[in-house]
Amino acid sequence: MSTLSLARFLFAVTAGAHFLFVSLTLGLATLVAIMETRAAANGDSVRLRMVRYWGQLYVINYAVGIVTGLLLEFQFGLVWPGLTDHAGDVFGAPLALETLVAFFVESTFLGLWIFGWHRLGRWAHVAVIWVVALTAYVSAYFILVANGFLRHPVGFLRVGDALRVDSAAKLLTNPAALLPLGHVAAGAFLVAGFFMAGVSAWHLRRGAGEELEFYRRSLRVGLISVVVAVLPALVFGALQLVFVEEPEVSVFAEVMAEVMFLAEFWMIGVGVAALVKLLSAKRLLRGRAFFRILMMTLPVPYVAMLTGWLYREDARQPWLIEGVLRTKDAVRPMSHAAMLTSTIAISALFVALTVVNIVLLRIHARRGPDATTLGREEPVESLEPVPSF
Amino acid sequence: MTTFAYALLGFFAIGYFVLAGADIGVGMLLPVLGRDRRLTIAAIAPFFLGNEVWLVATAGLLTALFPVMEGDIFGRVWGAVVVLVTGWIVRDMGLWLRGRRDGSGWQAFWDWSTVVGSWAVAASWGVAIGVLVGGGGPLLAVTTCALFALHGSVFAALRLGAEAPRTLARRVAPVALVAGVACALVASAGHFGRTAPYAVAIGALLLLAWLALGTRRHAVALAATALAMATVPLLAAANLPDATATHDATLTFTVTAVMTPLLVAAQAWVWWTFRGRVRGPSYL
Repeated sequence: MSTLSLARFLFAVTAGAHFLFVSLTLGLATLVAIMETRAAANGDSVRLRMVRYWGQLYVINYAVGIVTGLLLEFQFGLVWPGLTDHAGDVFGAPLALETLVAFFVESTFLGLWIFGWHRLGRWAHVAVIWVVALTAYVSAYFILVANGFLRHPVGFLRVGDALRVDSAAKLLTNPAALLPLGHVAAGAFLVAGFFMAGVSAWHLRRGAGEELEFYRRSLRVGLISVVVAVLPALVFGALQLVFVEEPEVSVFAEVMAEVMFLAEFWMIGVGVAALVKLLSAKRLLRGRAFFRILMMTLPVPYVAMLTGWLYREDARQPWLIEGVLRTKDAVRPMSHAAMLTSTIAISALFVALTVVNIVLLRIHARRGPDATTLGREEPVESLEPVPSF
Repeated sequence: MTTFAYALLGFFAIGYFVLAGADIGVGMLLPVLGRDRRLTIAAIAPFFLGNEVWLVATAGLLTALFPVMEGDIFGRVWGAVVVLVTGWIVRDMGLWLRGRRDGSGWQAFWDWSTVVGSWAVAASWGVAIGVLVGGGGPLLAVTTCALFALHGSVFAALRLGAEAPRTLARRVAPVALVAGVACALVASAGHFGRTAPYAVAIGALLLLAWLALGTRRHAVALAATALAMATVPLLAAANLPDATATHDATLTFTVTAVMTPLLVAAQAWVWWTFRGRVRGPSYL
């Protein structure tokens, strides 16, 4: 592999892994926020247990999501200096705004949410998770502004060798950013919805014992999320193709597109079945075949997300910024050995993290709500904290 | 314009060293700060997530405000940054994952991952600054490691109210003092006038920390080590090539000016919420 191919491979592995985690983070944070709001409003204990159980799965997933995001943040400077050299003024702005408006706020408030159970007031705790959920979307927005600029550069001027911002409004309302944002937001609800439905189906298929009510309600939340999101995901996905379609794409991109369509049709089918099931409370728990299908569908939205993204990014080649900067002109000229070592080491680390994440999610999803540690009542707490600083 | 850009960058970089320095230091010394590791981790648990994002913000601002300098810096300190980010990931995974399963093997594995990752982060800062100032990497690495460890152990002493971190901090302080003063002088590259103030400041602050620890005034000691941590990015900045900010940073400036007070307020809320002594293990 050439140094350029290695650099592209490294970016694909790190961004792809990150994308897997954040798609669940985005959707699940919102569902957890909705559940916690309802639990706070009517003091419902089943719902509060749902918040803690699904919230812990969210936090496990978030942890791996954030560390993969750290590397991405630094990868632009490390491997793709051409991007900031030529387009730093334009491309750097959304990245900086993402760190300040989204990343920073999201992490600060997530810390408060995870460790603030029984310390913050009920509604303060609810407010905190809403900030976390909303800033996750702000983050997605700014990243897509940066990414949309690569696909469909607008709002810039060429001054000599460099690009300058001509219109911040055009840059920030780039349709090549807003349409994918709709697609990603809806897609995240599909990922989270199928995740909740799939895990609940696993328990319900085994009878769920005392937790029947817990998983019945969780299944409902998951399926409602799927039903609401499945059409918007498809529509926004189709609309944004305007900015992706090329007269000729590689075989790789074609294969990705086909897999993506198959996954989408599968999800639409399950979505229609879910709608029928949701219409009657009795029908929801009848028939084990449906549970099986839901369990099998859990990975499908991930497949759609990844293949769709690979198609979108590969179709842009050989350009990094369409018509402005070629990919090969943006990569750092560095020794093949250094690039190879970093690619192997970082890819291995990311594969390990992905495996650990899947294993942990599986273990904690199967254990059920009683084993949840997040938000467990803390040992005796004196009323007045002894100030330590 | 450029001055304002530097001030913003400095604010977030100093924020990172002062705040995250403490939790990285605790990670480095995890096995020796107390018998119950869950308690030791609880000392930093609510903060580390909000601390590390100061560096993320610094990197974001560097990209937006000084894109050319960013490319240049990353080119020169490439290896150190790769180690830094990898160490950071390994360390965070240790913190996040150790409590997610029972079993001493699992927990020991992730504890070591926290320790090794934290040392890698602290040392790679020294190496990176060494490259930027044109030499003295090993000495700088000893200094950053000693400073992070000292700051962390003082923080642990305050949060845990325990004896072990205090004793440890008393031992680390002289190492940090000698290495810190020496490397502030080395970093001057012959022009002692330029970095002598840093050497004096580091020396005085660490002496103060050592004395305060002796009389158990932990808060004073923490203030002193926090200021000493702040000299690290300042020393690095004094040796950066002069760079002008990007031509049009209006967008970034406007948003940052509005956001920064909100960010500081959010962080203050976190520190206020968890100001008490550690009383029990946390979620981690």
